[in-house]
Amino acid sequence: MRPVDDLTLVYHRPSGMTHVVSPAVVAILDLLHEQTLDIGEVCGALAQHHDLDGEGDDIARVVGARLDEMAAMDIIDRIA
Amino acid sequence: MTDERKSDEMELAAGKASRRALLRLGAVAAPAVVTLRPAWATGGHHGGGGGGGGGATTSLAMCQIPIDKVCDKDGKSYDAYGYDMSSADDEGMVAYGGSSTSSKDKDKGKCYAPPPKGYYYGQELIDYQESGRLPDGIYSTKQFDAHLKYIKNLKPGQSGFTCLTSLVHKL
Repeated sequence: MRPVDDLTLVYHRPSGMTHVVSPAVVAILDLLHEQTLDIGEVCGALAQHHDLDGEGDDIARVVGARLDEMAAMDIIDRIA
Repeated sequence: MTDERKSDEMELAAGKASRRALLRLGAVAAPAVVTLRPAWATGGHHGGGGGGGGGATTSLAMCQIPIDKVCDKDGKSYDAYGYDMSSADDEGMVAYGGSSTSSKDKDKGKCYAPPPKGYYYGQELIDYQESGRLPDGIYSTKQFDAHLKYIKNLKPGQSGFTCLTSLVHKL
């Protein structure tokens, strides 16, 4: 992973793919690095360490969209 | 003095609160991940894009798995030298056309020709798995099945193994 301004490049060796990701994606990856969390826990942890631009259900919706995107790119694995 | 102390405490509290950075989560429909295909690094074709909420993902597996040998129906590969590619039949099988008098060469039967471009993209294997669509230039499922058997028997160190590994969860 390499930061470039406020974007980060994530290189996935097995596939040869390079993903350019936003700070929100990096924050979520940091949380999921060595633990499994559900959406609520991800939102709670993000709110604990950052000021978020949104509140309540809006945050959960957007975080859900980010997680869907990351799973589609195989950056994370969804379990059930 | 009391007012100054209160003022100091308020400034300290404000400072603590502002030290937490604002994290912009973005919008539901605005993608936060864009994927660059490996070929972009070599000046190849246009890179791929990421999917947003509700949109389909467009990352493609463009790593390559070389096949420059002929294969029998079990996926076992042999050196293509001596095989006459012009003798290809409807199933993609080619006959050994060498003039060698070696008894070993005389036993060489027909084998499936390698793909025209000499390799497959990982995405072509995924497309076949998902839709049954054969790669460009391949017209026989028997030929492609033989190639798939060869590919699935690749070992570490063989060209294409890393690409295959990256596709395992998609195949």
